[in-house]
Amino acid sequence: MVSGAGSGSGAKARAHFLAAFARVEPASRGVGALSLRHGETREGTLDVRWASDAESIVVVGYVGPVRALDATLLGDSLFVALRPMELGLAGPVLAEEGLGPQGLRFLARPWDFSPPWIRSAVEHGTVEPWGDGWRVAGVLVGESAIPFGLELSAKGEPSRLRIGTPGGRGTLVTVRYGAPRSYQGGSLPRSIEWERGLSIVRLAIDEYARLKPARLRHSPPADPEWMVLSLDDPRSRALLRRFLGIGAGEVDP
Amino acid sequence: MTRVRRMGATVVAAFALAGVAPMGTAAPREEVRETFRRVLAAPEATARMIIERSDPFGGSPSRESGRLWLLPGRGLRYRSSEKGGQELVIDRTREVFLLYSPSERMVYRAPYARAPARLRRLIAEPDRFLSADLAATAERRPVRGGARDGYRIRSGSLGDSLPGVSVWLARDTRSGLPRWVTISSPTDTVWIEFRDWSLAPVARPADLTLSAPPGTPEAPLDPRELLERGGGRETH
Repeated sequence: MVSGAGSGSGAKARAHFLAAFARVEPASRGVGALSLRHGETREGTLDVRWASDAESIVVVGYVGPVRALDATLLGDSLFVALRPMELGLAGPVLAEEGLGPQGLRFLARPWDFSPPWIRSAVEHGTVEPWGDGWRVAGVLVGESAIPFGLELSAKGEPSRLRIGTPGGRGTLVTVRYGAPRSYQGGSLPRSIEWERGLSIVRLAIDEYARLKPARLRHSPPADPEWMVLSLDDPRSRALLRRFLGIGAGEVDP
Repeated sequence: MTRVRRMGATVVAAFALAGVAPMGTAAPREEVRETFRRVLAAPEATARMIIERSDPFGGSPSRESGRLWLLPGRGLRYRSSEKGGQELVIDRTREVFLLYSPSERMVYRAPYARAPARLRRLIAEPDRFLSADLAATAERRPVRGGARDGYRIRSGSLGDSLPGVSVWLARDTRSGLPRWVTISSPTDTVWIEFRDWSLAPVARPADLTLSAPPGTPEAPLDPRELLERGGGRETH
């Protein structure tokens, strides 16, 4: 449904958006820099390389040339290795928790609106004029109904996505999209920002290219001497919450 | 997530792996031993390091340069030359393991015993490195567009914690000192080039001092302490 002034243009902008950003993403890889700010504090930058194919997302983070972080999401299974810390976090992402595994996968590559539950929500959302562009508002229906608002430029390019909490009060996470840039692998925002509370994680994308399937390598196994915590271990959750800037009593993303 | 930046320590782990070089059959064994003996027997050795790491997904490699100070028996320091790059000190005498992150304006501190075991062995027992049996075998490899003669080290000798890792090294043909070390795992490869070695007749312990400005806040280096303390940052 399209409502409000200029609804014809709004429908066109949404159609353009769906055509450009809701196509199934082929196997791809990328290079970028991930930085974290918490309030006024800049907490450093990590060089990242990632690969993605269907349900698999693999991220490797480097401090200089040192491989410091491995993260793999495969189906509902998440493994995070903090190599210099000799620490691993592993386990299933529960469907009833936050956005669940499919939501986590979407948040990890928020430029890919092709998953049916996302695409359908955008297709069925209400379009209204918003600044110089448009805003699509609707509900993401997964394990629970989650309100969202997607702001588009006049050309139908994403600029901001706000995902609410399942209860409809407050914001779970806000994703900001940089201006689109042409990469070897196609057009993608030149940056992505995830904002939650006082924490902002920013990914500046330097390279985006097609991935040869044989190059999709999952994380090497944890060393037997490592401490490996289950995702439902309170210490594991405390660490993740700290990294994600989530305060006590807040809902997990 | 950026907590992982704390332990850039493994930047110099590569040097530790290089330090386990020696041995095998007669000629390779002696060549490799001599290559590292001069460095590990010096009171202090310094060098520039250029470190390249492959992209596990097929992209172009990343590259970092830095400087190494090695005081066998006492400690080592690595300082990245990159903007915001980290600096690491392991000092056996002061019993500290320090990491300075300029971008975070933070010094992370741990006891010497928390430093990576291989680096501690390299510092405390350089002789042990020189007598290790790693079955060096001659192997010619392409490096930066040219073929170079070097030695492949038996990976199993590096210990159970590095399964499937292969180490290759080559010396500088003019100085005879270590020039190239590559460390390959099934997922990626690190190339390290040592340049401008300087072997000092007297050690300068002051070279094991971090360049952090006085008053830079400190925090514990070990993330397990953070876990036990509920994930809070602590300065002192």
